[in-house]
Amino acid sequence: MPAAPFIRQAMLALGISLILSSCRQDDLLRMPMYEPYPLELPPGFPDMPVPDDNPLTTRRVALGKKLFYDPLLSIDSTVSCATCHLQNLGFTDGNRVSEGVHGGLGFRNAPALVNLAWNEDYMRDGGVPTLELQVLAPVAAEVEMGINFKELVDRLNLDPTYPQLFREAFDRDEVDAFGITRALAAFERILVSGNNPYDQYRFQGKTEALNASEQRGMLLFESNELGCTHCHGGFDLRKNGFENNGLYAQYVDSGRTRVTLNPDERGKFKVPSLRNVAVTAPYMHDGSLTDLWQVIDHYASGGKGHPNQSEFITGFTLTTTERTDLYNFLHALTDQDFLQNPAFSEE
Amino acid sequence: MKNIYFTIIISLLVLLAASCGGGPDPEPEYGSVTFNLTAKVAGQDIAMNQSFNDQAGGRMKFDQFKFYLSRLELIQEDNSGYPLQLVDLLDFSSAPSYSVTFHNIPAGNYKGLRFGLGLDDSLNALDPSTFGSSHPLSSLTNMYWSWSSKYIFVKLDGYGDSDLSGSFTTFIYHTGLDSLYRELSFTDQPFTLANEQTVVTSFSLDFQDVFYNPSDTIRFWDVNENFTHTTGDFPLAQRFQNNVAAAIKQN
Ligand code: HEC
Ligand code: HEC
Repeated sequence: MPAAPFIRQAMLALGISLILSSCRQDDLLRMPMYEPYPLELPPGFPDMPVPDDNPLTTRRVALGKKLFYDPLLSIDSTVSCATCHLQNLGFTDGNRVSEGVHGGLGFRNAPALVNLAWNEDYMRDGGVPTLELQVLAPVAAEVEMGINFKELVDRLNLDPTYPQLFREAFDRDEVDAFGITRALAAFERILVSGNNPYDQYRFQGKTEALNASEQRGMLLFESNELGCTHCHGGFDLRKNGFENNGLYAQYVDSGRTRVTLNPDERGKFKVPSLRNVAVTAPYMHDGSLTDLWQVIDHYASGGKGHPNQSEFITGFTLTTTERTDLYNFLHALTDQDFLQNPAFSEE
Repeated sequence: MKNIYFTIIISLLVLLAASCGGGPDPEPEYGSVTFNLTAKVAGQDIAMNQSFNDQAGGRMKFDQFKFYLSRLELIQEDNSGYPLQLVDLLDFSSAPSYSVTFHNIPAGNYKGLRFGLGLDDSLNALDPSTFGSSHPLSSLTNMYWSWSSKYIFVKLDGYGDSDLSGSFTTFIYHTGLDSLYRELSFTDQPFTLANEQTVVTSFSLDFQDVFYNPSDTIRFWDVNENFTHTTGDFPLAQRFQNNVAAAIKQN
């Protein structure tokens, strides 16, 4: 049996290399650079989609958080991401439209940053396909941070702390656009909210989490007559996609059409999640509705009848009690843990 | 002993088989191809911040002119492409001409050249933050609309004046979006590339032709036709792009 020793040797070699390679996998994860960020998803949530080139590591998240709160990212060092995305307001800014560097006003209301990892499009018109690419937008926008990327990269490379942090988070020698976009996106992915009273009632079996009025409001919200869940349904109280909810008969902001140039999409905007909606006033893409009473009345009226208005915006009549119930239910979507989580706060 | 004879016979057979092709292959032959493109105004080489009279009694002045040229390839005899360069950003800020030479191109007959003005949908979908700072597609080039995650194909900024007595008004033409990608093919000057020789191909783009295209004049001095970031005035962006594409000519 002259072949036997050879086969045995080959098997041994194969075995060793298998062990070695699996060891390497584990070791990699144990190396500080690749240490995964410990993220626990709330009950009822699907797995989080994460792009291959941006694993959710502790270091990237920490660096992203530092960048998020750093005004160094704007041309005159006065504006950070958090200027327009404040945690206690569900990462909105409370303004009708946002104000950036040099007091410049944008033309849209700052949206909430919540459960973004599950979104398929970003910005109110969906012009941006990934969270990583989204970072390029506010940084360059003249009415937001107004800095060009080259200047930002140079500035961070000269900073006493950033180069080291980038080296530790990425296998790269210096601060670059890749690292900036990946780190900020990683931080934004951990902004997960899934523990409001409605979540507790629906997914955690806590029947006392909603009071009687909120429960009645929930049934209205989920009813076919009001139809809210056609668009604001599912685990994140939103569906991926764009809709015209009848806010105007004529839209100044063309919405989705701005990026697709398709006139049939005029007035269609990204469907927002209603999580923490009680703290994200004012509402809609232009911040034109100041409180949730106005929002309810808008939907009850059946919309302004734009040709692209969704067939699900048909109007309804509520008694005074029902109107209050729906209002109370929308307040039960506030997740205090999320608004106060120190993992998301400036250090 | 038997083993040795066996080995020798096998070796001879192998040698024989290897040389069966009948003599050694001819050495492969290679040459070089140079691609030149010069931007002009009414026949003169372009320069920034300098006023040029056009041939229709007006004048123009430029702040910047840049565009993406992609998928540059030679057209082989069977019409397949021989790729020279995937993409470059041509920037006429400091020089009127762009020139690049490609070496080790197989000798032979070529029908011409083709390339794209702008980026096709696959290139246009790339993430600029994944490119190093010196790459033409990097986020540092300022050729990107971050609000729509698309590259800007052509950037032209300047000033126009319809008659020499008037004053200048600003014009801005920034074009992009997948549907404005234009493929251009030049087959009027087929050529043969011989071993160790260089064939020079020269192109020009004259703004006289861009703005005064005989079938579509773009009134660059007129407020209704002097500004587009593509989405704001798509028809104008389309006309501009078509005229730029038509103005690129092989010399
Ligand atoms: C000057 C205010 C301002 C600043 C500063 C700002 N944003 Fe925003 N942000 C906005 C506005 C307004 C929008 C909506 C823009 C649109 O839809 O066109 C937005 C949209 C977003 C979105 C898309 C959300 C969604 O649901 O699609 C993300 C993500 C985001 N910003 C993250 C950031 C990050 C990260 C930074 C810092 C690099 C930042 N923002 C800085 C105002 C701001
Ligand atoms: C056809 C889809 C659709 C239906 C049905 C719908 N909405 Fe909306 N909703 C939207 C869209 C799209 C927006 C964003 C509009 C904009 O940006 O101008 C929105 C925005 C909102 C907002 C503002 C969120 C924010 O942060 O600005 C609230 C609150 C809201 N909807 C509540 C409701 C309620 C309550 C119902 C049921 C009565 C309902 N929606 C039914 C599509 C829908």
